[in-house]
Amino acid sequence: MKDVVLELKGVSKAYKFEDGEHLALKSIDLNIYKNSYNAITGPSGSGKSTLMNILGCLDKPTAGEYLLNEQRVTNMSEAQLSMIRNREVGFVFQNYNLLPRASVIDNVMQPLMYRVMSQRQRVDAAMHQLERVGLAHKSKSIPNQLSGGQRQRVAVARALVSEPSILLGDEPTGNLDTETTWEIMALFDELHAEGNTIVLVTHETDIAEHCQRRICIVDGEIDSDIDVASFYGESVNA
Amino acid sequence: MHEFTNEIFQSAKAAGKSIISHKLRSLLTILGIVIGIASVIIVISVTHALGTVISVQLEDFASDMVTLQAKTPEDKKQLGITSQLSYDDYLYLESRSQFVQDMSPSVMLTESTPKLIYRRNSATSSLIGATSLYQNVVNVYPQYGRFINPSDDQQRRRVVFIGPTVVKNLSMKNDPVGEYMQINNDWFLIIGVGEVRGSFFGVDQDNYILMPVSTMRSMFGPDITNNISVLFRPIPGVHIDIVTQELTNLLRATQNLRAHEANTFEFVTAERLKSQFDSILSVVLAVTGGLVGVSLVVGGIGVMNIMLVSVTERTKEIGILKSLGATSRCIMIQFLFESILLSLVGGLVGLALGALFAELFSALLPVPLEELIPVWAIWLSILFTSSIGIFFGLAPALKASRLDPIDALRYE
Repeated sequence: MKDVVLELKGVSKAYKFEDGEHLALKSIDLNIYKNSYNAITGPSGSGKSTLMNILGCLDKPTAGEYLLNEQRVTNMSEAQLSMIRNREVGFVFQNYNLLPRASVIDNVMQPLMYRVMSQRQRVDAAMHQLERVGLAHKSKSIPNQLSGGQRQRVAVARALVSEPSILLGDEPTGNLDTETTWEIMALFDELHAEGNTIVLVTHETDIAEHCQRRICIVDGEIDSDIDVASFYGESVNA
Repeated sequence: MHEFTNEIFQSAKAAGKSIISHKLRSLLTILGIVIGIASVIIVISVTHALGTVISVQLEDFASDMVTLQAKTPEDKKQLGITSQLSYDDYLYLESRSQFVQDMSPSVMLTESTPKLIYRRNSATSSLIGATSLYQNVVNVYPQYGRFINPSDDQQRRRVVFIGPTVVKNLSMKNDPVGEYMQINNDWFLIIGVGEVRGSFFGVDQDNYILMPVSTMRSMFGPDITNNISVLFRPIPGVHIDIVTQELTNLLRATQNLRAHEANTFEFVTAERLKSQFDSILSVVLAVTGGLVGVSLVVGGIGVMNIMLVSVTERTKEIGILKSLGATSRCIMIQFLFESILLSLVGGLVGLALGALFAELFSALLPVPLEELIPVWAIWLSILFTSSIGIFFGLAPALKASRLDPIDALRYE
């Protein structure tokens, strides 16, 4: 039996406006398994970003239940959510979202600043992740001295440094050219192979094709949910 | 390390980094505080210095000297009557008082300025008529020659004892004793030159010409002594109040004042002068302190403005930090620290500037100061700037901490 990392039960999200409300997510049931490689796709306005924000504990559903590693996120306080974001979730954003004035190593260390540990341990952990993404030699640079691909790899290193249960990518290759996109996707593939659980939100089909499981959201509902691995018994990249 | 301590520590570190990485903005932010605190320190140090100088100089010159002078009571003033203290009053007091050690009249020529001529040089100075006891009361001692003696006074000799500034202004040689000078076309023998006493708040204490009061009366006519001051010193060990009471009784009797009538004279003591100066100084301090306080509040508003702008400018950064696990409290503490740190740095820079000014100012003072700036003023400015930082940093910090992470991340 596969271990469940994320579990959504009837999750809805409504946005209230002056003239009524808009249901961005309509009672979604979804399980994400450990070591799985998932893509959430869908046209713009389909609700995939809302879903992503809820999965990343940046937002709370208006109805339904969300369990992350068996912890009930739905009822958590703001401070508890911060802690979950810090320990369980690693974010990789489309526009990198690095701190512009901080060095590469400081960016990677940032999530560890909210934990009680020695500065030495933080530096070691950050350097380890920078080596992992091949940017240890750039640790003292600041983000705008790096190329787009390098910045995204810094962002990946930062997402990994807290050893999260799940790596969330929000259009992680949206700002990159074809070659760099390929590089970053190769990195995600490797991370998956190393045992990380990955969820990518994307509207590009060739990105989704890297993933074993492709969940398509349309109008706030799961339109299709295809597990490629169950068809072929192994990753599509093989 | 505890979770919360780590939070505080990391927030403080982040605040420090942020200030350093925005050098120009930080500098402009603290400018108001710098100027405010510098002004506070300057005002306090100047009034403090003046207070010290006044008490030191008063003690130096005449700590137990008392000046008796005419004072017109309010009701008489309205009737157009001016009180006078005459030479005869002085003589009466001098002969009857038991508690006065030395007493001298001090007659100032007020209606005209005496014209001094020495060879081809001319100058002006204040002319004082006194007796030989004047030097004991006022502490004027000869550098050269001698002071006026009782026989000069009895004989109405045309002799003068002059201050060192007069020597300088008339280009005399250092020791002009034995030479003659002209005062209003009369010739006078210079019998002595006083010691240098320096200046008292910019007023030269060495520009004087002393002559026997009898000589002055013969020269300008006896009317010159219709209204004089009387300077005296009590016998050592006798309380000043006893002496003034004695003299008050004597004067009231000789002036035939009735019981309900107010005194037509007053006693001015060093103590009283000092308390008058002190009360003027404290009013000055209160008024300027108030104005300067306003400038500090303006400085605080400056900090708040820049911090609010900074929160907006760093909305995205705040979003990123929140997505990485920063709590609202973390963000709030960071921004609060930032404004406290900015204000405090501004306060310290202002303190340094104020101290520098106080240092320069103290060089102009005739007496050395024990402390340039009172310690309480230093603590007060540190405390005050920290409070400004907290008070005016609170709104921006709350604004930053309440940002929604999703909106903040989306902010461009």
